[in-house]
Amino acid sequence: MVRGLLSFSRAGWLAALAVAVLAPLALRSPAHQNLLVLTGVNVMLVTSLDLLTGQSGLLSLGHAAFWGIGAYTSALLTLRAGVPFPVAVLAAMGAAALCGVLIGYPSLRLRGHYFVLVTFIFGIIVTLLLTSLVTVTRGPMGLPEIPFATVPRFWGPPLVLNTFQDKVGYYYLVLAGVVLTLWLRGCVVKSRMGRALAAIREDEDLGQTVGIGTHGYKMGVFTLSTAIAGLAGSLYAHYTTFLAPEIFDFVASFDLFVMNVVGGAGTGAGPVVGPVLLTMVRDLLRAVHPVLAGILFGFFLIVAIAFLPEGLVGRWERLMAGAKCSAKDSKRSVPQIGGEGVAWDAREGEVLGAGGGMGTELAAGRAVDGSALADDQPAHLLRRATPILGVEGLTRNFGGFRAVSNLSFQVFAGEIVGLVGPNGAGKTTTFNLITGFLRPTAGRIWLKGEDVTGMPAHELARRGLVRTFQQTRVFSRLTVLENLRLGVHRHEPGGLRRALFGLNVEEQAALDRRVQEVLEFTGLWHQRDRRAEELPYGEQRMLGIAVALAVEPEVLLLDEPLAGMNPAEADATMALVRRVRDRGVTIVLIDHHMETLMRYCDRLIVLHHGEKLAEGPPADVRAHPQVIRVYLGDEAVFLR
Amino acid sequence: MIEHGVVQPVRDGESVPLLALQGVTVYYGRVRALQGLTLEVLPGEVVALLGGNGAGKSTTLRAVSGLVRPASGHIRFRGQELTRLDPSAIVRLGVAHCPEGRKLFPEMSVLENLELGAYVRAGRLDEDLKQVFELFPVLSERRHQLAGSLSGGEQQMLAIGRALMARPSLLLLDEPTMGLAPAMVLEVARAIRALKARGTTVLLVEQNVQVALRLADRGYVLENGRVVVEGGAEALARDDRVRRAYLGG
Amino acid sequence: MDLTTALQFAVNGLFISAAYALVALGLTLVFGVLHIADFAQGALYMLGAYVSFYATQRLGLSYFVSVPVAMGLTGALATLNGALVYRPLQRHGGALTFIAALGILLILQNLALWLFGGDFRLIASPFQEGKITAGGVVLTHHQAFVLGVTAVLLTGVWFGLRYTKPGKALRAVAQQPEAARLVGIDSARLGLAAFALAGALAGAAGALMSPMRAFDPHIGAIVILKSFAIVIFGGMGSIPGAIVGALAVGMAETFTAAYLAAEFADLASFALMIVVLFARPQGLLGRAWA
Repeated sequence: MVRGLLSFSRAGWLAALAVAVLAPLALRSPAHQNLLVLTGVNVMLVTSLDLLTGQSGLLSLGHAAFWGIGAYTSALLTLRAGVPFPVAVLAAMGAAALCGVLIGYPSLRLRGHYFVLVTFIFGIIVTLLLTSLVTVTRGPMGLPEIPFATVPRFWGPPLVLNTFQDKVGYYYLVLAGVVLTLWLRGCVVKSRMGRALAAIREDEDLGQTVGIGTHGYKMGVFTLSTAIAGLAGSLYAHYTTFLAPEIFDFVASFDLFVMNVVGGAGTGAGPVVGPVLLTMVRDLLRAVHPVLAGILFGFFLIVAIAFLPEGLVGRWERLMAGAKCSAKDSKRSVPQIGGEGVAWDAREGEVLGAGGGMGTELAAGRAVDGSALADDQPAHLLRRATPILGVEGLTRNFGGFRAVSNLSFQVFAGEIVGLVGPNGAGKTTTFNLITGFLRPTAGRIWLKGEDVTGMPAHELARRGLVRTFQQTRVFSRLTVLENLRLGVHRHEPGGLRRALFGLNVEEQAALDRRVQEVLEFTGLWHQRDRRAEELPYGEQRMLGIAVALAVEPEVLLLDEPLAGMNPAEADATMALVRRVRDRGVTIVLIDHHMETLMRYCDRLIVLHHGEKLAEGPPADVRAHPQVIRVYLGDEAVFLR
Repeated sequence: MIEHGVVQPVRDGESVPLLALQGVTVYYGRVRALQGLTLEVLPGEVVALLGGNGAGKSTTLRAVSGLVRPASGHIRFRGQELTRLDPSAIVRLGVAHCPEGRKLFPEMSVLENLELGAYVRAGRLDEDLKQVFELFPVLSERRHQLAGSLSGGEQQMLAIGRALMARPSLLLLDEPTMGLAPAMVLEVARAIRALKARGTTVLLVEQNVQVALRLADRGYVLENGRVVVEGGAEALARDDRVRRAYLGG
Repeated sequence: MDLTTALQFAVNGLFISAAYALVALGLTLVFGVLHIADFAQGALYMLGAYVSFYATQRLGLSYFVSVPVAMGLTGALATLNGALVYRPLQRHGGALTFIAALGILLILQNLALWLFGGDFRLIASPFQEGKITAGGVVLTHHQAFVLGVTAVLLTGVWFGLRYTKPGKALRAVAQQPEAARLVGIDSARLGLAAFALAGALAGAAGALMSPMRAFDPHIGAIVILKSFAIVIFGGMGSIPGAIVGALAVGMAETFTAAYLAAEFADLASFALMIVVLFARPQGLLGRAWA
């Protein structure tokens, strides 16, 4: 997660800072100093954009609009209302951030592609507004004579930064902004929030499963990113003292995006290298031939991304880390637009409330339906009588198709329950309903006596309900240790102080202990520094379980944990599952390895065509005539 | 754990297989779906592939039709190696795959779906359409209806019909009765029987063991990507190991 | 305002919608089949206009010849783009093909700038000032021509997709790619055909509009932005959606310019789009295919 932040070591960053500080001494011509200032502004913008694209996997195609909002706000306040410069700067940041909140709130709720489109159109709308609100902004004629920045001083009159006479002073102001931006980015990336953002980028669903409230974090990073863009806007406005709407149009947003990708999205130095390099290249080309420059630049771009899809710094990092990194890296270092699986279905079904009934029964600790409960089971006899999870009348339709139909069952604390049935019986759909990934069409879900119907996955995780997925899902590009750090997310204390300065020694030690304990329990401690995608498949599966365990669930739902295993492996895994149960976790699992399930499950629930067909101890279920018919086919149906 | 067993072999040594898989191994990413799978299908046979979920049945069909490429092993159809070929080339050779879940073209009519089934063929389609409509009269009634609006059973028939339009010598059927009501299951079974009577060779993947073994001449039971039991259909139907493969020990 | 004026505006709006519809159709086609957002088509629109200009002004060809010539050239160029740039980059995902598209746009834009200079051009319509008047509503001959040609092209594409074998194959790939492979459809080749068609349509739009709207090398950008937004609005991959979207946007622009102010025309169309998207994220007719 902190991958790449140290793509230059601390010494490297200090050296870069030194170069930046000394640059105006080497580049004395006003033209070059102008470039320095603009590059600085671009670095701020690309870094704030990278917080979205590279760190969180959110592609924004309208970033320049927020830059423009900040610029115009600051310009108009100082020009028309005589507001002092420092206040105008803050107002610019506030205005940009406010717009970010307004369009972020609805669009970040849904899947990624929607956010791309909304930012794209928002960018266009802002340009159009700036052009057409002529009375305010003077439209396409542009806004001239913006006051110079006046920096207040303790020891005398405010310093007026007249950028026509001296660009160097302003350059250092911008450089301060750059340093601030990079520092903020560093804080975010290393903090608990940064880890959450990494989870969102890598696998948002999985992040929700371990209790990360993804919408909140996305809003947070978007607000921060747009605020920084607003800051850059203010700095820009008081440098050029002239604004026109076309400066902030879609081409500008695209430019920022290109600088981001070519430098290397998600890398530490990429957002610095990108703008610096591309500004230099463009300037060079323009010196050669102004019009051909555009053509050559276009070719340069295409060639650059063809050979370096993960960006310059991304490739450099890969080389530094050695040949171990797989080629899959390059495919996924880049944020996605359109492309595979455009999932437009952003809304789920409505929850239709059903009557109370079962809830009170559960709370009173009594069994509701007449299901046969096994009597002689080892351990936890007292807890066994307490239902910990229950569904009542659970139904889910997809259009005309009933995937789950009026399903009711309970799970008692300390049980291992197997959910079985033929292909398409509705088992995974049931899991998705219980764990908040799908909304039920009808029915209720109860967890520890509380009605949790319709609650999203991360809320359920906080209440102790965690699931794993059918195809093993882990944060592939992160190390085992980093995966576990996300698992313990809800146990890690947060807050601003810790975001800026990190956890204290005891807090860190407590977390480390938790992580180590789970890794040793699942036999993965020796692999802790390896990336998840490099592990053999069986260990990846185990990692998925480990991450779920790190959340410290009370109820664990395992979706096909034994898939593809031979009987020996399946046995070993179920032995581990039993040990998990012995620590006090209730287990519900879906799988098809009937032989193994028979041995380890306390009860089986058989689904067929979305309905409960049978329920009870394994031996009873296996002898159940309907179950046999469903699995082996119906003699009577087929007449010769 | 079921050991590999042969139940009542029915082959005589002289027949040349229409389709032969030898030591086929397929990976999906890191997951090994097929391990050294070996089986064969003789001309005119109906062969059933049985086994629990995740046993590798669908993967076998996908390897034959070219949707997935095996990491090792051979797949020969009439002696010709299929493993390096594109799906379109394999269809042209005479292998048609009716996939799991039907996978029709939902916004196109019954007729258009059928026509597309014959995509690789030149020439007139009237004869083939007539035969498909004979086999599945209900499709004729609904020929201009959009495929997405058909019932489950009708969709399955259309899927089979579409595969037949390519005039295959070998038909790969993946779970044709999945999700169908018993009456529909009967219909589909009747159709498969009729196909066999016409001489079409069928490799049938089915979760419904009864149906599969009543239609088939021979069967293979897969577990963990390899064959664990093989033999004549009737014998397999009575065999305990088949039951165990589905319901556990 | 009275009915006649409203009708007049509607006619003008229809005319603008026609050009958008052609470009949007190409965009949605390529997206539906290949999942690529081909921004370079803006440049092809621009080149279509310039080909028309060059053919009539410098080569002395008839305007009516220049339109199919433009289509042929832009279609060929689009195929080249598809084969040389998009296909190799496709495995890296959408963002890179997007950047590549914009790179192509940049190259072509600057090429035009270099070859033709940055001045705005407008060619003379072969119809001169001829117009038809019916019930107080005026339609210039050129507008009628554009509407006619657009109708023919749209109908042709619709017909081709619906009734020809390659057209059905294209739809099949868009609806169910795996089954398309199974019946032996070669999606790579079809993808290039989609590019060619989309490119030709964009070039046609440019050539058709060249006597009506002044153009310069930068016009491609705003055209593609609008067309792309139309496609999103109508539902990506939906052909009826692209056409309905083009109509809605064309009309919104014209009526806003008429009743409010010309500057607000563009704003109105984009505001409309974002409002619809908030209510229906998949676009008006999202996911449907003709």
